[in-house]
Amino acid sequence: MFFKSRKFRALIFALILPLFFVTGCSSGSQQSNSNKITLNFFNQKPEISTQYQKLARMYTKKHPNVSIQITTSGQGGGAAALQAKFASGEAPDIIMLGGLPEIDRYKEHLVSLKGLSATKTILPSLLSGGISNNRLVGLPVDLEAYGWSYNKTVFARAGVNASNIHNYDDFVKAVKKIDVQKEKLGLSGVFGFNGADTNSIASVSAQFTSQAYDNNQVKAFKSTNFPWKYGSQMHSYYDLIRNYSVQPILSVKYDPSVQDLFYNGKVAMIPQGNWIIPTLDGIEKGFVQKNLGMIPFFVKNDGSDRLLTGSSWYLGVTNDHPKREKAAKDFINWMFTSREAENVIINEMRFVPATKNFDVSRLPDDLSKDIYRIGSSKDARAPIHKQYPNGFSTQVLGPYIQRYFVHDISWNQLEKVITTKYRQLREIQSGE
Amino acid sequence: MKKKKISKYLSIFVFSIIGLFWIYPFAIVLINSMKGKRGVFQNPLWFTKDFSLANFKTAFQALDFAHSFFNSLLVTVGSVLLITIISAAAAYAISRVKGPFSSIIYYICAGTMLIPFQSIMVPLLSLFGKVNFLNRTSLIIMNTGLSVSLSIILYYGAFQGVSKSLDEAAALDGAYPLKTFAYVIFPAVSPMTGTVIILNSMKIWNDYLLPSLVVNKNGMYTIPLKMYSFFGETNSEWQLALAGLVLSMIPIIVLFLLLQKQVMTSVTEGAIK
Amino acid sequence: MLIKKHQYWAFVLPALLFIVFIIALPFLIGIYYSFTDSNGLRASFIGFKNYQILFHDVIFLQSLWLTVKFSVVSVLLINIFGLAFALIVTRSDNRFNKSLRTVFFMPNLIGGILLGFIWQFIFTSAFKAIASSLNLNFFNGWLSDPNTGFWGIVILFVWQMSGYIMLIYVSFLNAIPQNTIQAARLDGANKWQALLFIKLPQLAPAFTISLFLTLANSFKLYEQNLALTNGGPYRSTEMISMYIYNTAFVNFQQGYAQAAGIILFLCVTLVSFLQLALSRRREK
Repeated sequence: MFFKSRKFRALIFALILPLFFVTGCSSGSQQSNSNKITLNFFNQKPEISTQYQKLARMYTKKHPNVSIQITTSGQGGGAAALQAKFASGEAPDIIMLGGLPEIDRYKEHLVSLKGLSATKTILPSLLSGGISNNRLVGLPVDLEAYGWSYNKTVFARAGVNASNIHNYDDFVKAVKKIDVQKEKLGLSGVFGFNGADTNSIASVSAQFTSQAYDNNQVKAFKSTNFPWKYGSQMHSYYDLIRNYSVQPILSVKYDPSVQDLFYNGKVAMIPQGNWIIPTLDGIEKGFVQKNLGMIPFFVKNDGSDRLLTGSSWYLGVTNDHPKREKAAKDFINWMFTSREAENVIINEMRFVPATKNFDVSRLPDDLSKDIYRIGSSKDARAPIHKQYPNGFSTQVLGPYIQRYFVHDISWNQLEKVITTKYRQLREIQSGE
Repeated sequence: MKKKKISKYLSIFVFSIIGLFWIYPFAIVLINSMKGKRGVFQNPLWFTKDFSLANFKTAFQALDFAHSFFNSLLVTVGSVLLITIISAAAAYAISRVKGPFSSIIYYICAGTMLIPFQSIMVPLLSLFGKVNFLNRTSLIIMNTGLSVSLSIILYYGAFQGVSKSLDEAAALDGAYPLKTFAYVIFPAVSPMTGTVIILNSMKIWNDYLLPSLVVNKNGMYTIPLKMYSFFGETNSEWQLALAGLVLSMIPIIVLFLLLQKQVMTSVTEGAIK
Repeated sequence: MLIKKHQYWAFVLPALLFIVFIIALPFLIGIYYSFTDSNGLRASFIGFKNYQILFHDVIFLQSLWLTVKFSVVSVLLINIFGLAFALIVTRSDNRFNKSLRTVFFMPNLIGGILLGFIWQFIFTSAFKAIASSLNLNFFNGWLSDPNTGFWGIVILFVWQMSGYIMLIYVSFLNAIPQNTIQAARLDGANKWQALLFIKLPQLAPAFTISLFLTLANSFKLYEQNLALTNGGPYRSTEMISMYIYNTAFVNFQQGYAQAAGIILFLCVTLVSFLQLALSRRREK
């Protein structure tokens, strides 16, 4: 009988041995150093983690007693990872949060950032995205533009001039003009809409929902109604996308849509903003300056439509480790106000800064300059999709629009289910 | 007679084809893990020219394999050890002392086996989260709690089959119940111990859902957890993902091939009893 | 009495504590949660509202229905395959019996996450290659269609479970005394008649066990679902466990998710009692 044999006992023994080994190890590795501070920074944008590491090293060079440990989690796993950090008592000192629903979850942990020198530099139109319970607890990471990115070369070869597109009809005409030349230009579609990604579907929807709240993110966050005021225009745009996008639309994913379809000129437009800049210039230096332009969605269609400009992510400081709170604030001040940090942010992260009175000429490409001009102007408008209830984008809006794309439901059914689900989620999540 | 022989070879042939077909998914994973990106794209069904073992090195590092393997081993061995000792002890007591308590405990065990993990996952997590106790130790504790019921019932059956005269003989020799249990009765049911160990090890080693909720953080990843996040990072680089899959499967397959007969007996026994 | 009272409790208490704190207590708290609007941080009592909403929640009902459909289909297929394999590997004239048994059982060793990824590769890359070489569109885009996506999960699960169920049938087949079969053959029954009238009736209890095991497993299926389709496209292949997970940990509707969890528990309990009743009746 094997289980009684010596071989079996040896096996058991061999398996148990490491157990004692590890319990011994793990209790021995505690270190402490009195005046050194290690800040934990929770980052949810994986694409810029190396640049954050660089900023951290630069800061430590100037302040040798402060080191910054960056934890990155993203691609949908960020929210859960953050929840786990707080649950296990390892709250980070600086956290990157996406939208007021997430800020609201942690509001008891966040300190007020009022009066910080960094705060004073932020564009006023972006501040409401960091306010919870009338306290300013988050600062925008950057200024992002939302609209259609178009490939200038493809437009030129199709004989379309972007500066002549002023309203929805112009836009449709341009789309149709490109569409008939598809074969000649070697296009797989006019649009490279990444229908597989619910988050992109949500960010496009913000084009039609953001007008309802006068640029007040808090108001958007409090609302229990999905705003349908521009629903018919939303319907038209989604139909346009459904008809002129690369098929099958649901199997197009973000990375290939940018790195293959858009970069290789296989499509004319993708519904992405300036966050694609580093990727494109990473493949080919100078591509952005030469080839990338943006067109807004025409929603009100009265000449007032611009690219939406806002920030998806906000930085906050926690009160879980009072001793490190000041150091965390100092680091944030440095990131937002020092010239050296700014240089990394604009030239390596390729961000457009979210700060006032910035000298546009320092930005490395024309598109970024345009975006800053629009975002810092009086009629700047920020997208509000980050204020949708938790799970609304990935579990409700995204999947139902996908169904609409493949003719699984009608637009009427879609409106109905989105209205009810939006209210339901909001009511449950705001329960005090 | 000749006809019989032909039909015999025919059936062997047919069965072998079925067997090959059944194992082909493993083969296809192995084949493509030893290629470049190109080869996977050209012909994923068979070998292509760009043979290389480099993927394994990349995957080994990306999976932080030694570390993840160690975490998996730690959690599995820790949980199984605890489960075995605790459930054997409890089953021994309720099999030897008949009475209302013993039957209540038996029915509690049978009853709790009905509760699917998904029905208690939310409160269990919030309970442990509230006291800031989410780490490898608490994972071991949860694994134990989730597995003792079945193990007690298995052991109960085995102890019923051990004659009480053994206990009595030991007691006459002056042994305490603990001593009787540890030195006389427990060794007598070692086949069942093997079954309990194998069943629980397989379950815990392969588990993803519970570890993903409890130890989803740097330094504590088990193999399935790490594999899941690695898969997300490979971005359509299938050859790397597949090399990771092969690495992740090796330990359990090797162990199975060593202990084949025992594993199959245990699995059957666990299901039937 | 050989074991004294305090000794009895020393033996039993550790196990009881584990069961109480890891299963019983969370279960009771869970029942309470299902009557609240808990979002993981705050909760207030709202009565039966969660259950009322659940029964009008299209996605929940769809995932519940999908789970039932999945369970029925896979139980049938797994038992057919399991029995067929059992008959193959118990044939006396087959010298590959042992290796075949190993081969059929092998998928059962691998965890759901890994299995999901293996089949994701097969359904996307390998199927695509088959489609283009045979010029058959049938093999394209299996995981981006609700219908084939469903069958994808079924295939995976059948591949995983058949070997396991085979072992159960094998152990019952081996228990059938050889001389009953021989007697029947002498009476003029052919191979198939022997199978149908002698072997199959003897396998009835094995069938009940297998039925219950597959049903319980398919109701709780999560990891395979996650790694293979992750519910896509548009949540059409999201089964009940994944629904509970997403509702609780993505939407943070924890009270609501818990109500769904309780319904899952009721389903599993119902199935178990049916099985119990079934096997009791047979024993009489």
